[in-house]
Order: sequence, then structure tokens, then C-alpha cells
Amino acid sequence: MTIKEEKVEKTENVNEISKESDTEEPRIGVFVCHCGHNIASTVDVAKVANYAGSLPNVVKAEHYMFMCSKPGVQMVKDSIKELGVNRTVVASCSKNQHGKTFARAIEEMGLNKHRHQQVNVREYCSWVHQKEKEKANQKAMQLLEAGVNRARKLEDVETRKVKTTKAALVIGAGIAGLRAAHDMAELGIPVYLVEKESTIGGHMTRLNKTFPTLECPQCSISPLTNGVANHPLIELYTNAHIKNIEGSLGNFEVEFEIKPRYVKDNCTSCGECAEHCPVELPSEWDMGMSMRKAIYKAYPQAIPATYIRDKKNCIECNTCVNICPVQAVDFSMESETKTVKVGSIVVAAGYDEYDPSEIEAYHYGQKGYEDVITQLKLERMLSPTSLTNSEVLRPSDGKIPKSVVMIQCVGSRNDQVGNEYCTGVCCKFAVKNARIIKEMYPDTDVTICYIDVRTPGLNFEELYKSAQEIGVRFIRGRPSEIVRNPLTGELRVIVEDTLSQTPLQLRADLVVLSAAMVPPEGIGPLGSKLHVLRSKEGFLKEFHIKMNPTLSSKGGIFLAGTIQGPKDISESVAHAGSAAALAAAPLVKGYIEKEMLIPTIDYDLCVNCGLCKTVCAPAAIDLDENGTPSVNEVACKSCGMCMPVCPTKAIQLINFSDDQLLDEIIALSGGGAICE
Amino acid sequence: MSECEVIDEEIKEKIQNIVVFMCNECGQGSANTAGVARMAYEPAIRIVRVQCTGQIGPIQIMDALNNGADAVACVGCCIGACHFFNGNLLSMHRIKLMKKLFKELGYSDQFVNQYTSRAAEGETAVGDFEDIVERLATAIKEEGTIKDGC
Repeated sequence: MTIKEEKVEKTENVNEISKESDTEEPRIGVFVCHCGHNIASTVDVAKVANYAGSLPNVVKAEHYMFMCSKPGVQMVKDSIKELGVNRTVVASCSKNQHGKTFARAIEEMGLNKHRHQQVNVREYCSWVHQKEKEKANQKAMQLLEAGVNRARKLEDVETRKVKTTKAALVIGAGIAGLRAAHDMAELGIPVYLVEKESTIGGHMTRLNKTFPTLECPQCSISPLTNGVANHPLIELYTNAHIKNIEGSLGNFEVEFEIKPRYVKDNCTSCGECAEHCPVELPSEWDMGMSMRKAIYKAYPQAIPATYIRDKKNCIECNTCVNICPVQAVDFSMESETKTVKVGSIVVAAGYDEYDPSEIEAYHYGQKGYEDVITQLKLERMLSPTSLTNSEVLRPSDGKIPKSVVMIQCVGSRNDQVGNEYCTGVCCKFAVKNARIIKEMYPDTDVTICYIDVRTPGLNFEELYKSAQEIGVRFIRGRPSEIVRNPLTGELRVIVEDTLSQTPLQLRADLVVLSAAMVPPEGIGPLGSKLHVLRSKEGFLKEFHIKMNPTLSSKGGIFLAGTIQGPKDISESVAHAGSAAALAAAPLVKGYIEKEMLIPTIDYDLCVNCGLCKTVCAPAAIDLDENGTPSVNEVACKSCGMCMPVCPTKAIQLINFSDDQLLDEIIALSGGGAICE
Repeated sequence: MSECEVIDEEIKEKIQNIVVFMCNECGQGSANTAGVARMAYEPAIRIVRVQCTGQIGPIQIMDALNNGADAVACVGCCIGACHFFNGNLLSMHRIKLMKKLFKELGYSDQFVNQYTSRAAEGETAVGDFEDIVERLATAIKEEGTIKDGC
């Protein structure tokens, strides 16, 4: 409740609303527009205006050639001044076109702009019923009557300024998160960057080369990682995870927990501790392609450079504590909880590579099938810092493979595993890696088994063609199985070449699975803490796929990069830049203006069932400890979805209440009740 | 249009008012686009502007039918494109239940329907309207109007 009180203090009225609107007698001014011949040629405007004049509470009913013109608008204004009209109805075009014109006009005359009712007799009537004039006339009268009925009960709606907290939170420090954090910090906004791993940079730092230009990703990202790590406005928290998020657009309160590194910040990253640590484990960062110690740094260029102790696997021999020249290792460090106030949140939690072990036929991760690897493992093998010294070697015997088979669409475009979508980048990186292998070992056969090669965009077709020219073989068909000869240990990929309709058995020394991008682990709990919706694939859902792909279902929470859906690096960076700009806008401005078109709750009727909360997509309804709902006026999106679920009609959206809609419905349904 | 012409004039005369709740986003958008393109449809269609089809409950639908509407329809955004997230799905679910109720009460379940449309395509709205009229006409032919049953 304390947060709520604070919020009320922070809001300030932009327009004064008169409390008289409940008691005063409605005086309605009706104006029918000819729109040149657009309306007048089908609808008898004089007759319609006359009819409107006969309706209760209508004090003025006129028709005019062009209502939106200056004299037309002046007519509306004059009626307010001369006749004391307090609600206006204009029957002309759509609300989108000129609704604002008249709303602004009555606002200039001191009326609340929500007291204007636009009746659309052009798009909904005259233009579509040109051949049925009689019926069109009847319809226009009914539409106008409905408009007048609606206007009679229109209430004033406040516009409020809500102050925003000038700070932002970025969740995830992969390429998208870094880009968004940096962009916002450059606009002068303090940023809290929270990353669950011990290092920043995400998947991009693991890659060997980026397509299509075959650039070094480490060199591309390091200006950004260094820039973020050293930016005075960015506070970086690694090894941290979000615990709780409260509030809404402009004012969030975020609680996150920072797990201890057990190594203090004075670590010089000399590496003595790791050298003498007796525990060896496969490195997670290296996709298990190299080993690390129990006290380690993920990779030599990692930021932050401080070492980290893996408490779970540490045998507490204290070697590192004793050997550290600066006494930085401290086993007594404890996790810390931090609460920050921010105005916007950018979610850049990234993706996970699909785990192909689910697909039984490919035997990934099973004994005897060590030579079946994923593309990310191949990237690690090819990388300049790899254990194999950038050589492609078979994990089983360490020999250079004579034939490499890449299998596309592993985990994507596959109904059986439940992922219908195309990841969209697998073809690109498979083609890139195939070309790199073929260039390194011209004698090695490289085959890509594909369903469709999807390499759209600038320079990608060229990449595909260059791979074909260099001798990479493309076979159209999804492999049904990878089989292993139990005597020789040789792997064979069973595939039908669907172009020549021949079943093939490809001998493969190394099989590379192009695994899909899937939502990251832990996205479910994070999504529910953020109160944002997820798409059926599990990614966080954007507000609108075309018009606002970076806003989430909740105002003030923005999506950057692959958390919204599979993307390549360039798309992620562009997406993150858009998210940063949108997230920064209300913070730079200092306030948000919001029309209080929100539901009101009649607490005498409310039975505390909480149903309204269950349907509220932007999570704008809070329940207190007794289950009594309250509307968060800043978060509310005025959809009215809470209304029909309420069993007692206690919650009603202002200007769209059951009572107000009923009057309009009565007129449009043809009048009086048929069942008394 | 061709299907509409097939309908008997007599039945067509009976259809006076069809209340269509159209959401503020794609629903209104598509009806506006249809208007701009001068796509003709049945004049019995009466459009009510609401914020979202998820706002429409049994109260509004029954109000409309009780006050003389021949049929009611909700037109929202396409599946997955609701501007308020899942209002169209909520409405769809609600209409499904309403249809069951109508059947149990002994009425045709075609007096209430849910549609989707796309703001960029007026054809979608006109298609919806034509379908409403066609379904209603068939229902009237077979079982009579809702007023007859009252």
C-alpha cells in the first residue's frame, strides 16, 4: 500500500475535471456534416438533423457542409458559448479522422474532451449503402440517436502527469542487453545491468566468426563490453538474478539477489589460484569442449576479470585462499539482496541452444555417439582460444574428420518436438561453418542436409553461393536417423535426397546438429515476475508484431534481442536499440501523460473474488491481503476486459460502463424491449 | 454479395438490426477501410465502438437481443494480434458458451457469433458482415427469428 500512496503523490492533474457533471442537466449539441456530397448524396442530412432535434436533451441540431472546416468547428464552439451546450455529437466521419478535431475544439471552450461523441455516418453508412438510400437514412438516424444516448451519460476523464524514476534496469548482458544499456546510459539515464552468468557478452563471445563477413565477434563486441563495464552511469551486477518486480510504467521497484563470487574485487586475475586448484570440470562457457577449475575465469578476456569460485564443486582445500598474492579469495562472502527503483525495464535474457538429446534418432549425448555435436560446440572448436588450436577434431579420437555432415532444423520446424517456428539463423551459420571447414580442409567432404536453405538478406545469398562454389554439398532432406556400426564405431546418416528421390547413407566422421534457438531456462519464473505474457513458443510476447515489436504486454517493460524470438546479431542489436529508445523516452521526458480512462470499483458490490485480476493482461489490478482489488491507474490500458467477468458489476470502465453501453445498444437494436 | 442475393427477399426483410460490437483497433479499422473503399454491405449492420471485444459480456449481448436486435456479433483483432493481448480469445470463449446457452434455451446458436478482421483489409470486415447475414438468414429459414421464439 505504501507504494500506492507514493504514486498518488507523484501524479498531478493536467486538466481540472468538474464534479458537476453528475448533477447538471445534459445539454447536447448535434451537428450533422454533409461532407460535401459524401454523406449528403445518400443520407437526407436535414431530415436526420431534424430527427436529432426531437430527441431528449438536444438543445441544438444543425447540419453544415463541412463540419471539420473552420466555420464548422466555430459552430460547435458557438453553441457551447451561446446555448450552454455541455456535450457535443458530430455525425460525420470516423473518430480517427476528425474525432480529435472536435475534441480539441470543445477543450478550448473549457469542456472535457471526453464529452465529445463522434458518430460515423460516412464510413459506416453513406459510403457503404449508396444504393439503399431509404435504409441508409434510417440507419443514420439510428446511429445518431445512439450517439446522443451515449453522449447523455458521458463523464469527464482526467489526464494526469505521472512522474517517472530516471533509472532503467536491463536484464541480461548479452549483445542485446549491452547495446540497450549502453544506448540508455549515453542518453544520461543511470542503468542497472543484471546478468545471471559470471561474465558479460553472452553467446556472441563464444562464436568463432560472424556471418556474412566472417569477422571476429570478440573484436566486434569488446568495445561494447569495455564501454559498459567502464561507463560511469552503468552499474553492472553479474551472478545476479531477479527476485521480485513491483510497480508499473515509470515507477518499478526491483529486488535482485547477487550471488557471491567468493573472490573480492581486488583480484588481479593473475590466475595463480586456478593453476593450483585440484578440481577439474568441463567448462560450461566452452560448451564442455575444454576443462576449467573449481576457481576459474570463464575465458581469458572475460569481463569482469575477477575470478569466481564454484562452491558446489569446491572441495575447500583452501589452496587458493593461501596462494592468492593479494588475499582476494574469501569463502565467507554471502549473497546480497539489492532493491532499486527504476522507470523502465529492458528484458534481454537471450536464448538457449536447443538440447537435441530429446530427438532419439540422432543419439546426441549418448555413449558411442561422441562425434555428434551441435553448431555451438563446433564454434568453440573453431575458435582461436580453443583447446584444439582452432582445428576441427573428432571428439572420440582426436582425428581430423574426412567427412562432416550438418543436419539442419534440429528442434525447429519440427512438430514432434513442439517447435513449429524456423529459427532463421541456422542456415546462415551452417553455411558459414561449412565454408570455413571446407577452406581449412579441402579434402574433407562437407554435406549439409536441409529442408529449405533460408539465407535471405544482403550478402547472405552470396555466402550461400560461395559455399556451393567451394564444394560444400547440399542435400535436400531431413535425416531420419544417425546409425552407428557397433564393430567399427562408424557413423552413418540416413537421409533421402528428396530432389532425386534416392535414399542415401552418408558416412560421417563428424555430425553437426544445427540446433534451434529456444527460450532460455528460467524464462517462466522471470516472465511471471515481470507479469508479461509469453507466446506459445515460450518467448516473451511483443505488444504488436508489426507496430511495436519491442514493447512487451506490459507498459514500461521492453524486449531486446532473442527473448522476443530467434534473431541474428544484427537484428538483436537493432531490436535492442529500438527498445532502448522507447524505454528511455518517458525517463528523459521526466513524466508520462495518461488519460485516466480506467475502471472504477464499487466496493459495496465487490465480493473480493479476484476474477478481474485473472483477466487483466497488463496486470493493472492488485489485490490486497483481504483480496480487495484496486486499479493501478498507470498500468491500466483501458481495455475493459475486467467488466464482463465481474459477477456483481462492481468494476466498470469509465465511459464504457454497462449502463452507458446499454443506452447506445437500445437505439441501435431498434428501440423498446420486446420481452417485458 | 452473390450469396446475399440468394437469400429470399422475405427473410431479408425480417433482418432489421444486427448489432456488431467492433473493437477500437482492428475491428473499427477494418470497417473504416471498407467504408473508404466503398464496399457495400447489408444496411442492417449497426456498429458499436467498444475498446476491446473482451469488454463484451452476456449482459451487452442479451441487452441487444432484448431490445430488438436480430443478431449480435463481436468483431475483434485476428488471433494473436489483439492489441490488449487476449481480449479476442476471451470473447471467443465467451461467445462459445453463449452459443451453448442459446441451444439449451431452444434457440438457434447463430444469433451470436464472433469474428476477426484486419484493419488493413476492408474485405475482412465485409466478409464478416456477409457471413453474419448469411448465417442469420439460414437460421431464420430453419427456426424462425429470435422474436418468433419469444
